[in-house]
Amino acid sequence: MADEKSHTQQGQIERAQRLRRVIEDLKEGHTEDQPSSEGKSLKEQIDERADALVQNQKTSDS
Amino acid sequence: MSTLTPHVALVPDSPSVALASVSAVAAAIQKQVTRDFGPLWQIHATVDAFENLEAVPVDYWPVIIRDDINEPGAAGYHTDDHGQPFSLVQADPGWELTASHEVLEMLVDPFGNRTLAGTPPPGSPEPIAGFSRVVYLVEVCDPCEADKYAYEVNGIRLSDFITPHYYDPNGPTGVQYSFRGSVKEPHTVLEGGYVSFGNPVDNHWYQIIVQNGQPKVRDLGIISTTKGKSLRETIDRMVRDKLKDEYYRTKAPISRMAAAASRSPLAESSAARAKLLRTYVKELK
Repeated sequence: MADEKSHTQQGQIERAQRLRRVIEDLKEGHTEDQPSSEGKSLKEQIDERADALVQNQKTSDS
Repeated sequence: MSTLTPHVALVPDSPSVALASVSAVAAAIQKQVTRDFGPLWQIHATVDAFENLEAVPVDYWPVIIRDDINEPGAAGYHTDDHGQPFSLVQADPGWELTASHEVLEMLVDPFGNRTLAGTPPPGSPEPIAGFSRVVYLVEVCDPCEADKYAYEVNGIRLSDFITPHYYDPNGPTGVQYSFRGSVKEPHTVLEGGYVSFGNPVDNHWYQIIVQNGQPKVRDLGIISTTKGKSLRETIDRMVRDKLKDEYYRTKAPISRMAAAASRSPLAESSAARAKLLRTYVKELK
């Protein structure tokens, strides 16, 4: 339970730090930077990684 | 009907922005969402204040209030580098109205890409005016965003908003187009407001803005790529490029004294009630 709470807090702190970095970028006028997602939605990114894993598995099986 | 309830966090991120005022605004917006907005948009949501960003649960969408957002591109709606929505609000006089604007728009279109088709708005340029359909970016406060259409909840001025009927294909049908009833026809814009729409054939985007009673067309150009950003962020950037150094979404930062002066007129009655309750609790003890 204690570990779970600690993990939850870590997630919140990580996001707070990340948001502040994004805000500082915005304040410096960096509004056109390519996001780390390369323009893909989270769902698209996860689907792509899952497809890649399946392909790798098929290749190693054959 | 079962839905996932969105959670919005109002959070101060500058020492001059007091949690007490953010909490009061969060309570007012929560009441607005539950009583006024939710029934019209079929949305159930929570709006809560948090002491700082570190206290915000990871599935809440933050609306961050700061006193140092002087860069025109920084204020307003954004997605972070994980693709999640957040908004930045400058703590200037009337920030409560802006916060309400950001919350309501986030609830209807959290990821900034929602469009709806409709007939072109009045005042559209040629050849758009002759089209049977354009696509509207769904931003539920923009057409009626001016302070004169705002209304009070718990003594705090919050933004008016359009209803889903705003996007109806036909003319007036006796339904409500905005919560306060100021918008009388679909796709129309009130003084000080605007609407963003595009040509679905070539993705050329425009805005109709109304200033001094006159509708004006702002030609934003063709969007060939959003460069990984949402449509809403892309259009905001195009507007900023058009306006360059003009005022856009930010005003001058205010002093702590000025912020205090803009407190709710109901603060006095709330203080009186608190005093009464404390007396009552003391008697119970």
